[in-house]
Amino acid sequence: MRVLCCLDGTNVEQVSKALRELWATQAPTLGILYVTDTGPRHDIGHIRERFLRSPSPHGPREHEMQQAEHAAAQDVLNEALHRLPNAETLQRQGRPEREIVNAAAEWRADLLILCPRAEYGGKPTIGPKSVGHVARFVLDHAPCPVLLLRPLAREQFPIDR
Amino acid sequence: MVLSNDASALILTPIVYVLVTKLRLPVLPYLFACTFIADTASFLLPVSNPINIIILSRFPLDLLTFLRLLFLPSLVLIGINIGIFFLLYRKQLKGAFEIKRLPSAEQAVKHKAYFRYTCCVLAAVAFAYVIASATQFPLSLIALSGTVLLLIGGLCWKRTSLRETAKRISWSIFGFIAGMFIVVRAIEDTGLTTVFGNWLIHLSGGTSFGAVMVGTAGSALGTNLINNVPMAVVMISALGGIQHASPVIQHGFVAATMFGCDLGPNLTTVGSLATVLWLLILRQRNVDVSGLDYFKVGVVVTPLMLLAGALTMWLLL
Repeated sequence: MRVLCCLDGTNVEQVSKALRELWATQAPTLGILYVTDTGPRHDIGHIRERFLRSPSPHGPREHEMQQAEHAAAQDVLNEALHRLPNAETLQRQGRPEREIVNAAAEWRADLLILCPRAEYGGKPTIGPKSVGHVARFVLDHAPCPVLLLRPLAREQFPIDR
Repeated sequence: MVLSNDASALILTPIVYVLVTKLRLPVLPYLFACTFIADTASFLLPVSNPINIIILSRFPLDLLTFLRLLFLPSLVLIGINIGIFFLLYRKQLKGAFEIKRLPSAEQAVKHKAYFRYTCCVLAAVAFAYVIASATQFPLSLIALSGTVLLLIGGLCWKRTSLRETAKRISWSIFGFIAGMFIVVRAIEDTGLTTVFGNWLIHLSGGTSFGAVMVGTAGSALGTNLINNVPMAVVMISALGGIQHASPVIQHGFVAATMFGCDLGPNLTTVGSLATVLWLLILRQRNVDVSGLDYFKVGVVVTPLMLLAGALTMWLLL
C-alpha cells in the first residue's frame, strides 16, 4: 500500500504517530511531501505592482528568498525523515492544494494523509473553520482516499445536541 | 517613516519573507503587516510618502502644522493596526520560534565597511529630511544627494555597477507620473476637476468636520478606483477652489487628502477596483485565494482606521 503524507512544517509528530498506530505490523510504502507555497511570492508581486515596479525583486534578494524557501523545505523533510526513515521525499513548489493532489496522482498514492490546518499552538478547534482551504480542496479533489488527521479535542465535547 | 512607504514595503517585505520562512512561521500575517504598516506610518513625516510631497508642493504646510495634524493620528492608527492584526492572526501568532535558525549578525553582514557606510548615509539622509521639512528646503535634493552617495559607495565597494543599477530602476514610473499630470491637466482644462472640487466643498458644508470626512472618504475611495498617485493629482486640481475657504477648512482638506490617499490603498491589493473584481472572479473559479485574503483583511481594517484617523485629525484642527 502506498501512503503519501503531506507535511506543513508543524505536523510531523502527528503524522508519524498516526502511522505507527495504523500500521503496527506491516509498514506501507511511505512518501512524504512538502509544498513550498508560492502564494506569498505572488502577493509580494502584487505589492510591487501597486508601487509600479516589476513583479519580482531582482538579483540577490530573489536568490535569498529562493534559498530560504529551499532551506525551510529541506528542514521540514529532514525532520520527518528522522521519524520516518524509510520514506521517499517529494518536494514541490506552487499552490499547496493543487500540488498535493497532482503529486498524489503522479506518485500513485493509495491513501493521502494530511492535517486540517497548520497548528501554531493553542487549543485545537472544532467547527466550520477548523479545516483550512488546502485540506478542503484536497478532500474535494483527491484522486484517492484521504485521511484527515484532526487533533484530539475530547475536552470540547459534548457539543450542543 | 523616513524610507517612504513604497521603499519600506518593497525593501522590507522580501527581507521579512526570508526571515519568516527560515523561522518556519506562517508568512501571510507578517507580509500583510509589512504592507499595511508601511502605509499606516506614511504620514508621520512629509517624506514618508511621495504622495505627501506631491500634495505639499501645491498646498504647502509648515512642518509643525503637518505634525500637529497628522503625527498623532498616525500614532493612533499604528496602534489600531497592530491591535487589529494581533486579533486577526492571534492563532497563527501563538507558539515560539528557534532563533538559531537565523544566521548571526557576523554571518549576515558580508561586507562590514560597506554596511557601516550605508548606515551612516541613511542616517544622514533621515536627519536631513527632517531639517529640510522644517525649513521647506526641496526634499528632492536631499533624496538625490543620498542616492548619489549610496551609488558612489556601491560602485567603490563593487557591490553594484551602473548597468545593474539602471536595470533595477523602474523607468516606467516616470512615464506614468508624467502621463498622469498631463491627463489631469487636460481634464482640468475641461473644468471637470473644478466641478468635482466645488462639489466636495459643497458636500463638506463649510465645516472642518465635513472637510476632513469628505476629503478622507473621497480620496480613499478614488484611490481604490484609479490608484493613489493619479488620485492625489486629481485632488490637487480639484481643491484649487479652497483658497477662498478659511485656513481651518483648507488644512482639513489638505490633511484629509494626504491621509485618504496614503491609507486608502490598503482596502484592495493595488488600489484598483478592477483588480478586486478580477480577484473575485478568480475566487469563484477556485483559482486564487491569497489575493482575496488581502482584500478581506483590508476591508476589515481600513475603514475603521480611516474613520479613527479622520476623527483624530478633526479634533486636532
